[in-house]
Amino acid sequence: MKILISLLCLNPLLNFVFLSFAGKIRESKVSQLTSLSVFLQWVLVLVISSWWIYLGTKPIESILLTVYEHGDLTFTLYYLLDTISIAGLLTVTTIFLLVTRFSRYYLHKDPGYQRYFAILQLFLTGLTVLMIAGNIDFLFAGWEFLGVSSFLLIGFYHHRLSAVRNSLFVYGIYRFTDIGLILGAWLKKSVYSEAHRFAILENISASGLVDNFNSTTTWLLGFLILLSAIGKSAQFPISFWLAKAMEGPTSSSAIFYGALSLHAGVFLLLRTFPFWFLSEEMRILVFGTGALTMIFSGIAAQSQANIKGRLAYVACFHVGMQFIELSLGYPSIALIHIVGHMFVRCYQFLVSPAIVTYALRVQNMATLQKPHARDRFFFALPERLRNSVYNFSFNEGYCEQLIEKIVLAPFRSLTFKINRIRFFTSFGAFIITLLCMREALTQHPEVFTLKLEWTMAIFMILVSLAAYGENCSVYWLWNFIGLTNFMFGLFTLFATGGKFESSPWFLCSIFTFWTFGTLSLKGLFRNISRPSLNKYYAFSSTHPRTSYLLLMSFLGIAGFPLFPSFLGEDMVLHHLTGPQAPFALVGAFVLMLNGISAARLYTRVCWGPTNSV
Amino acid sequence: MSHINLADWLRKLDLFGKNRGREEFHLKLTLEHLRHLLPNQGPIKDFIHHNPLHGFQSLDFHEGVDLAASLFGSKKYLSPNFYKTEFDKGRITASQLDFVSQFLTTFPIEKEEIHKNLQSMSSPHEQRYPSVSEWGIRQFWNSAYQIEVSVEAATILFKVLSSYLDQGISFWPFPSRKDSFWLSLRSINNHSSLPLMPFERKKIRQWLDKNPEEALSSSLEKLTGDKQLFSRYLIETVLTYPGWAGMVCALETNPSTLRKPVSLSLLDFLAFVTGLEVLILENKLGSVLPSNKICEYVDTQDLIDRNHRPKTAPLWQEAFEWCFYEQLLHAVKQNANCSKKTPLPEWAQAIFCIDDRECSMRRYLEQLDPGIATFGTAGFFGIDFWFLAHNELYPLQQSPVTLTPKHLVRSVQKHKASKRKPKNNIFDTILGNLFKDLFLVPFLSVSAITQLFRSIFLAENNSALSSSLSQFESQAMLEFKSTEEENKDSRFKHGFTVEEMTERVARTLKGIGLTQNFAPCVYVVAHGASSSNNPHFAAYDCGACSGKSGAPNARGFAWMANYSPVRKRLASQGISIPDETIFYAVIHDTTQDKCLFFEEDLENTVLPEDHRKFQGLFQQALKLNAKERSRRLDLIPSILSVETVAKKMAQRAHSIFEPRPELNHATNAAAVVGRRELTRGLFLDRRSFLQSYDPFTDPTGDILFGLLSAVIPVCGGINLEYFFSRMDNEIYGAGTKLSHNVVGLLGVSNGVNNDLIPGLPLQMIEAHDPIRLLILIDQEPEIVKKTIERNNFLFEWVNNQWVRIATISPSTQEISFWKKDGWIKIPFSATLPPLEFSLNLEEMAKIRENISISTLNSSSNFERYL
Repeated sequence: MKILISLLCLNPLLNFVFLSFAGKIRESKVSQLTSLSVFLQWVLVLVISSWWIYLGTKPIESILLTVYEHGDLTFTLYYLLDTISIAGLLTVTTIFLLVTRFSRYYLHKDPGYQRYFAILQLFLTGLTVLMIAGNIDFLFAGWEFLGVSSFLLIGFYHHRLSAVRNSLFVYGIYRFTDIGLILGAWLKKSVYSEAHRFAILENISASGLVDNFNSTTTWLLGFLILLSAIGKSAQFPISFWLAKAMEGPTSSSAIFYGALSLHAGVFLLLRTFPFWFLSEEMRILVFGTGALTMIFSGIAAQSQANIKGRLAYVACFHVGMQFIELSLGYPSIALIHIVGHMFVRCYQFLVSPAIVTYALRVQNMATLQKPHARDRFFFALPERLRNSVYNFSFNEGYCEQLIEKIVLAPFRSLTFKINRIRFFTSFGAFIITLLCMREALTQHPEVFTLKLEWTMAIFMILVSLAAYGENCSVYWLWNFIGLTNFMFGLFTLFATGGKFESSPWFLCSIFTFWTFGTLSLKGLFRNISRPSLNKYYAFSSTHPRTSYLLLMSFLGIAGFPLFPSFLGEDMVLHHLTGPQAPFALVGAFVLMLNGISAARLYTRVCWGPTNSV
Repeated sequence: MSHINLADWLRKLDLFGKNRGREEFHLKLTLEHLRHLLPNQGPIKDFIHHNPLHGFQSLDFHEGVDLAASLFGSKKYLSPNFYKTEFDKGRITASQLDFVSQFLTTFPIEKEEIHKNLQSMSSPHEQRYPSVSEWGIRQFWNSAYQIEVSVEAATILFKVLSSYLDQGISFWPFPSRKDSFWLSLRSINNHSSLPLMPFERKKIRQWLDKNPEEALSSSLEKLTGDKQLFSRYLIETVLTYPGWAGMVCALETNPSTLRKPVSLSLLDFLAFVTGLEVLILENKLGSVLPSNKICEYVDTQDLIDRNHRPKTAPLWQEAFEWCFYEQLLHAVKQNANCSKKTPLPEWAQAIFCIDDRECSMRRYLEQLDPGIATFGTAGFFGIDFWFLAHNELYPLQQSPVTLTPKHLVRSVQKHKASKRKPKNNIFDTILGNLFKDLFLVPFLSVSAITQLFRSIFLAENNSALSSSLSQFESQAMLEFKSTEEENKDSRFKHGFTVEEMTERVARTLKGIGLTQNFAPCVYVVAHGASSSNNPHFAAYDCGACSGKSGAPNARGFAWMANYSPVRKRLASQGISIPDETIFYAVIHDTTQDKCLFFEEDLENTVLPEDHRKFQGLFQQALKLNAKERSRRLDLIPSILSVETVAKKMAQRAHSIFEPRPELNHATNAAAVVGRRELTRGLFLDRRSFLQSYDPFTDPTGDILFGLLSAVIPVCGGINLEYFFSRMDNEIYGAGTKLSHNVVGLLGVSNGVNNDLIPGLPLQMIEAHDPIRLLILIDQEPEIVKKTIERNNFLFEWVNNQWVRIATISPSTQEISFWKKDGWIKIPFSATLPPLEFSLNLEEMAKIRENISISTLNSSSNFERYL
């Protein structure tokens, strides 16, 4: 079984790597390769499902791979096969089979043909991992794959400004809500070392581990998981990102936001269901989120005058219902709903351009003309109420405007202000870093004072905020990001009393990717003296290989699962336990912010419209 | 005509020169000019091909393109690499360049410059002018305060417009939509507890309480600070939001195209947009805007340098076009010089549409059986009417856009048990009640899975399909005879009287020169198209029928020509149709290459053997046609048999994942107006429109005038639409289809809240070579000149070279080519070899690119393919 599961994960991953690095391949070969790979995936899923049924449909959990083991530090990948996984795998692979065949003709002659299928394979890897992951670290790897493939596919037509802006926006939301999973993973491990395994989590009350998990911990952990779920599944209050994501090819909108990626959040909740369902607060939170989403998205959907926007909000509406079903204690109903909804929405997205033909034909049929029930309710309202409800719907519940006003705009102006004192900030950061290093090398690490730790933490935050607010110079931004990550690695080293095991992974990979990034930037801006962040340089079209290197560097610094920095992130967080819990929060925040800043750098340098003469 | 003044007006404004666009502001005149500035594309259900630069037609072609490019920020010609590649491949030769520069161009080019240019063709990147977002007044706010006014205004503007104009996607329509736009906005803002727009309520109220004209002037005052800059600002506004602005203009000119009528004028649009921009700026900068700084900004802007552009680019384009024109003219001249074979007795005649896609069908029919003669005329066959199908609410216009029909024809179901097209639950739930959707999901999912598998693996999807062969329509009877009894609707007359019918039939028959020697079987072949999952479905249908299938028109013509009272009257006019001649109506689905013969119309007649013979030949021709068409489609291997290819081609219309169901008018480049003798036996590679015309029956040019009044605008419109969409697909065309999102059932946009994009999508124009239409007329040059001079509009098309015309004299076979204000004789070198082409389908199927116009070798026979 282990071999089959490994094959299942490796098949699309290898495909992705091959399509990305093998240079330009002819369209027919790309499609043959992808069709073969997806078909093989489908066959594998059928084999695994039948075997699982044959073995008695009991959950199977086992270690897939031990990536790293040193002392009490382990990084292992567990897989878990149960009803949820199997149902998920079957649906995902079937839809993938359908959409791959659809895309094979749909994308014919598009210059990004190979790129599209490479990203789809990355997406498939992420989904497969999500379905079969048996512990939270492995699941998080899949989660990251989903995020990056969304980013790349929304920005597929990267010569269009709105596509570039929206892909960055969605990536930002994903990155922000991922804090939930990062901290959740950390919290679980710090409370009980085996709690990261879902199978263990399921039996938490049975195995008498309830003491470690008092109600606050359960509640907190559940909340963090819910945060991530809200992000991926576009629930209240951030449903507005889903409509913005409709910038890529229709087939990708169908597969990501109609069917698969949208349900990742509710799938996560389903996965951890036996655990959070114990807590009453969680049940209320999940119910509340689902209900509010249904209200806000349902109302917002009514005034959408374009087909994809309408489909987006209706999909949110359904996912909200799925949240409610879970909170009321009906996971099997939720699962059926999810599976059914995936197929319906995927199909509706794929045929959404046909709405013109269909609607006009239906509208034209005299026999079908009857006063619609829908209009009756709306027009029966008194005028003032009707207009208010309409305005509420038109503005999609004012969520975006309120979040912009209350959260984003003040945050942005804060980062601008901090950026203005960037010389002070970076100078201070350097001093602190040097101090720390000196302390560590000359004195015994235990003497490391709390004050120093706190100062370091504060400067780390300041530098990463300055990076976020950097809107002039490309190099400053890149160096800030590198510096913050470096400080983070160093910080953990000293905060944990000098245990060298984990940090080298992280530090080395950060340094490597920072160097690659600097080299590629230098290469791209060879002829430009002061590269500014106010322009879009669109180097993807003119210097594809160097842009690719920059992409890899950006992903590496942001902790993409294929690179050691991902491992490192996990391990450094692992070390921050007990009284150092606030530092874990700081660390996660800083990592999150850096990912967004790095993505912004990438979009400005490599994407955008090619300029006029 | 006011649109002549648009170009002059723009010249006077001198936006990029010292004047910077200042002038005395006259609102009405400015609005009138603005209406012509943008492409005139209305709702997508009625896609009509037209010249996107129609407002610039008063200028010479190259000047017009240049002026438009500077305004829209578009490319002017193809990239230098393209021309260089053509030159390297030998398709453009140095002698052609010389010829063109010497004889054809109206601008001076030094010979040395051409040769120098040849050596140094560089610049791998497309050259385009800066767009309005770079030179416009709005840039001031961006550069001084980092406020992107247009982006912020756009988010609200597009949403409001799409909601107000929505034709059936939103569940809740814009409240008080029955009122005019401005009034609805006022009411929705004033009578509501929650805001529509994120600004101060008081300010919005003050703004909307004014009438649009006042609101517009006060906003403009704040945005420009100088009344003289108002016109410039309005031009920039319309260019900053061109998709929706164009839609508003198109709807204002033609409000009846919408099923759910709205009242929104360009003035309302401009007042709204400018008001929004003021509110946005005041929100960020306080209530007093520094408008006085704008004049300074405008005066110190960098002028757009228009002199560094290579002067030789238009020359290359002309040479590229000439290399096609030369082929065509040479081939036609040769063909005309050939000895005529004695005409065989014709046992069948077929009247097709002038559409370029039919030119290969005509060729196959004539080759399969030389006893068949084919003709071409505009696809509405002279019968213009509104068609109301059975049990439908809205009549369809079955005539060219320029003709507003006055007659209504209804259809009645013959058989009681008519099958209605079933509603599709999955489609319905998209637009329907949310809660119903919620409960139905588990059941719908079964249906969804089945439909997904069927659509994707079997390529069958009836709900997404728009087909011209819909069965139930063919079973209905059309009422063409006018009935005196009921005529409740005063807008239209129901049916035609015998005089009206005779008039139309006679006009068409005289136009094509078929007034005697009628064959026993005469076929009237209309065309339509089918596609799935395609919002641009109307672009594939017959342009002469306003983007609809021509089937009702063909049926009308056939019915009228068979009607004995009509025949009697025709006989009295000199057109005597023998009794045994029967007219049959046929529809040719150009996407699937299938056909339908409307035999029900011929109720009780006994159909002759020849008819069955023709049907068989027609089916064979369709299959061969499909095989020929497949050569341009990469995914259909050329080695497959004719039967398999025909099946695969038909499948494309049913596939929801096929963005290229057919290539439509791509590669169109010429129109031949004349006798079939000129083009019979020529391989035109489906690039030419073919209008039948007999010069000997038309000494005064009256018939020609009637024909050209249709051919020039319709075919020229199609040609230029393709031309500009190919030249710059991002600005004049619609970009790639793949990211399109249908908005309000009116048009498409990229993503959810972006501007509408008119024009043709990338997938429709990839295969197209941008060549202006060459209309080759079979008539003496003096007569042609007199004819086009009769009408200023037509003359403008020709004299400003938006289309090119040439004539081939019926008496001397000499070719005259129209250069500005006069004819030039084309010297054909005797060294040009006679072009012969053997129509070997297998060889041809491997060639993806254009094939030269050549004479068909008589050894082409198709028996072995069938």
